[in-house]
Amino acid sequence: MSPEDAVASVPLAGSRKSPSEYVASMRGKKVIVKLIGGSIFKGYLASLDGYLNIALEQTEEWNSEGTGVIGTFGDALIRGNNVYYISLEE
Amino acid sequence: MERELQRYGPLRWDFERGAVGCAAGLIAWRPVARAPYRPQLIDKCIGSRIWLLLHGESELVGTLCGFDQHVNMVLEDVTEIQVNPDGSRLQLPVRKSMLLSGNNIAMLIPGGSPSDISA
Repeated sequence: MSPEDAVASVPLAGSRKSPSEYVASMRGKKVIVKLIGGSIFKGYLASLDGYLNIALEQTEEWNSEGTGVIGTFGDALIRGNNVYYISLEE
Repeated sequence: MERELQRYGPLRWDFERGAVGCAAGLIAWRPVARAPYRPQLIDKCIGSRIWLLLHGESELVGTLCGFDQHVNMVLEDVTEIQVNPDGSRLQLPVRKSMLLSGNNIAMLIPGGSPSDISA
């Protein structure tokens, strides 16, 4: 077996879900966006692009501990370079 | 080879100097097929626990579901650990699934962290 074959025959351990597929499944749902600065935004995901620029609707800003709302906005656009992660609100 | 192409996408053409197959042993630029970006180490971690050290004072432990060319990652059952300047570690609530921006990732350690309960 050549080294190339050896690589190809490594079984995939789990299901693969690429970031783009994941994003597609999140559209319209309530999400939590954490920024590099630590603040947390919750809102309905209106749209999102490859730079992770995020448009949210009915946005709430939470403090970094996630214990209290700081402010509310209607629509908000978050520039992608500030985004640390996006998570679905359960 | 076919399986590999399915997993990693098409080959990319590149040119390198080398012997071109002719009688005089001519040296010229010849086209070669190179494998594309092939992050096998991360690929092998898919489906297993992974420990991520990030820029700043935080770490993540989660199950890796997928990633892309920017090393943005889809993770499940993620615990975020905030490392304070005095060395104490604060564990934040578990998130069921998340898309982590690859921008802040400093190091990936397969197998989860030593303090990972669900490993």
